[in-house]
Amino acid sequence: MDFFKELFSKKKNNPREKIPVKKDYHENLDRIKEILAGTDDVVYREFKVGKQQKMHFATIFIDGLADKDLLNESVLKSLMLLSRMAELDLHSLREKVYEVIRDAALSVSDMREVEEINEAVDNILSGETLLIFDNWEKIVVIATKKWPSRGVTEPSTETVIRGAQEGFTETMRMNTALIRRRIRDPKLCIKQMQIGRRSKTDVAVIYIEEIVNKAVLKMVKERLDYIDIDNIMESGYIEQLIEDEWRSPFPQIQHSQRPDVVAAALYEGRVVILVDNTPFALIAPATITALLQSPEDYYERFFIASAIRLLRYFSLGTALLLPAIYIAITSYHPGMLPTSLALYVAGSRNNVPFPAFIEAFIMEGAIELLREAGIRLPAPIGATIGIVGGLVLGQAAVEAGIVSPLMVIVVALTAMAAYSTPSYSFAIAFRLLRFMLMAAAAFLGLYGVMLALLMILTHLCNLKSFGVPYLSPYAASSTTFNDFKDSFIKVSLRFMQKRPQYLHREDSTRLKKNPIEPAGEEDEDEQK
Amino acid sequence: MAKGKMGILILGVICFLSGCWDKVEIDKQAFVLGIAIDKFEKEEKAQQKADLEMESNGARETEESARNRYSVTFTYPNTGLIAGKGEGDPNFIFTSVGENLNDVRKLLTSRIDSNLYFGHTKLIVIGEEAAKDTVMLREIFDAIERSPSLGRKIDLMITRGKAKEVLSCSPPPTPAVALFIRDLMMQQSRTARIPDADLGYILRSMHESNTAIAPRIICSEDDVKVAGCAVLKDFKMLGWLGELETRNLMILMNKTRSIQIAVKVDGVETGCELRQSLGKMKVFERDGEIVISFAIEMEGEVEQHMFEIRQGAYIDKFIKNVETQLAQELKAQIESTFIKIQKEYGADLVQAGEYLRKFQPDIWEKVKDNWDEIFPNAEVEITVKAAIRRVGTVR
Repeated sequence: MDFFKELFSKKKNNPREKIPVKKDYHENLDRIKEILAGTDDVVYREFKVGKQQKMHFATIFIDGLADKDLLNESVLKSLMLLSRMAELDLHSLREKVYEVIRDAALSVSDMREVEEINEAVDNILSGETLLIFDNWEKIVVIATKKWPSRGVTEPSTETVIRGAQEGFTETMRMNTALIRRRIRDPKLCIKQMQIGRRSKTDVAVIYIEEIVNKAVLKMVKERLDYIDIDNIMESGYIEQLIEDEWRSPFPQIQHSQRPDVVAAALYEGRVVILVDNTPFALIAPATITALLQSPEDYYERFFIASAIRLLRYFSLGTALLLPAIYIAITSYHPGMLPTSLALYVAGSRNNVPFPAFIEAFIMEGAIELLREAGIRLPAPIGATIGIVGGLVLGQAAVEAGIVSPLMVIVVALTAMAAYSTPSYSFAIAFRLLRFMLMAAAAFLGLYGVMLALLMILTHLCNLKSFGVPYLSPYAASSTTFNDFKDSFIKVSLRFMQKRPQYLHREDSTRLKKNPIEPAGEEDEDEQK
Repeated sequence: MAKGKMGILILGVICFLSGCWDKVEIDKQAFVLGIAIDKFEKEEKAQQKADLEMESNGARETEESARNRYSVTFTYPNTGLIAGKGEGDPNFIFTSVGENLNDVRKLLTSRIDSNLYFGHTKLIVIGEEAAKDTVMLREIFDAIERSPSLGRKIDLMITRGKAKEVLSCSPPPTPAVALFIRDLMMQQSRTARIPDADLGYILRSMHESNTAIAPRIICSEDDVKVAGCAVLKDFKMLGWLGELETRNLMILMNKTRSIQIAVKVDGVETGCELRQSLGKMKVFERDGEIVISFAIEMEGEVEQHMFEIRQGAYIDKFIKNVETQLAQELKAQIESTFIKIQKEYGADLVQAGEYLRKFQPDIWEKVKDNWDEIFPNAEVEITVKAAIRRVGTVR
């Protein structure tokens, strides 16, 4: 708890020293050089402007982060060459150089001015270019951010058959553009801030003004403000620092690489947090339904989507329980199996030297190893490892008589079931809990499994993500019948008129008018 | 804080000290599928080599063996063979003698390396000698009922001769005789000659009316047959009912799926398959006499007539003829069976007394004390209706 208090305690107030920009060009330049003393990737380009070459100018930028083409074409060229061609009365201009430059000389689309040196330095470090010149107590910042970045590619972690094939990239500006393309609504708010004392990572909180759950939004903003850390490497940092219950194995914030998932969450009234340098957006609050659905559910016909959802819930149970039930039944309750199966299981375990618990642990451990190895290995070898590990090892283990063939089936089924969960972070929580259940089964049989399950269920019922019950809409006081239309089944889109009620929001109507019914049929839904 | 710790401790104790702790790996279980119970006979003692040595060891053992009353056989399958690995006999058969059933079970643990598990027991066979002994049968029923692991869907059967022999025989399709019997009893189309009587029925019926029937099992070296039944009354076996008698009793109890019966109409043997659509028993009082009436309705189809008799089975008159003859034939058969049960055995197998107790409590109050004398003298009225619904397809 102390850890938390420390983490969320008020920021220590150590405001940076404010250094105002002086009128003297050289003093300003020296100040900046002093601050950026150890940074050799900063480029200082000093030049003189005017026929008499009397005015000192300098551009300062970081090599690799700023767009040099833009600088050459629109800043340096126009100031150095074009201004010389124009016959200007320098004396009259002396007092209003900035106005002239802004209005007539610089052909760049985005520029602003700052009055403080440290702020200017921050701008350099994020890729902007500074323009300083004589006799002017402000510094011009020209937006020249441009760096090599990955293009928009298919999201590798959340592939779908049907649906948009583009995923977020590491550049936040591109990501906000991908979201904005899906929500052309002036009420879409993108609030940007910088987190990280040293990294100064851009973080954007995104929501739709009239739809968002105000309480959640307030909580998100508060918690983000409390963060005082030196750097943010990935959205995982933010996730861990703002989640409700750090002791829970379950992810309380959903993450996604897909702009369509994020946009859909915004339309549902959730809050999205984008972090620069990572393609994973955070979605809060996370609920169990959101973690168990795939964007395809909404694109495909609802019969199929519903069936697949039921399959997912079933597979979740399988991934969690199957090895535990195998242990419990073979060690404690052989009477629960049909006679023929009991005899077969007993026969297949003949001469297996380990008890079922050890056997299950060996095989589950092997599968976990296999997964881990599969992630680390380069893609072409990864497939080989799958075959060698999965097929050869399993076959050899059975033939050697170390494990029973049934155990191999159980392990394979469990692994497949675990992979069918759309959310990776949710699936790995179950991966861990599975071992706990196996141990419970080994000590207490099915009774132990039920005890452990009750513990998990109690925890899940108690868990909240930003004040919203994790098990919404299954176990939440604010659930309405309407919410069950999009839960373990999904009804046809034409009956989903409301957004999820458990997120309490103002504008709750999603579908105002149903599609035109074929002639001759009563259009009763239209009145709703 | 101390209170909280105490609470956690109590919760922990509840969690960890309740439940079943007898963890036995499934491959260390001996799934006893069949149990045979015989009366101990002097001649058969010391069949096992180990027993022989034991008994020659001293007088105490001999004295103990004089108190033996039961000879019990357990059979469990060689599971390795079922899973396709391992070798040897398909079944392991162990026989031991002892004073009572539990005694035998415990004695056998000195000879079997696995844990005897009765959760999958399918068949209990009782030898005729044991079944005819009142005390023994009561002891056996009590032991069976008291055991938590024995289910009520088990088949309890009685055999002529030694029960052990039934477990020793291996019918060709399924070498484990208990599984063979289980599959046989689960057939959908089995004949009504096999009585529909599992352990649950027998125990309930014994509790309610002190009578029951148990299927009869007959075996040879490699052949088993279940047909007919034994009549149990007053905790002992009274005698047997033949196959047709069993079928008739099943009709009276409205427990048949289908029956086969043939009548001769116009000189042609006509084989029919009938299903029971109604079998209603009523017991009432008429002029101070108890009357038991049965309304039985059967319907079915003609299975066999004679080739190339044009229109033979289609004529309405023929069908009517068949129906009346079937009804007569069935009525005669059923009546004779009922009279045999009523007069010869005096066994209220149709549970007429139970009917009175449930539906006519005022009559039951009068007769319950000497029902055993009243039942054999009760009047019986049986009406049988038969209907032919289909005659099959010909050309």
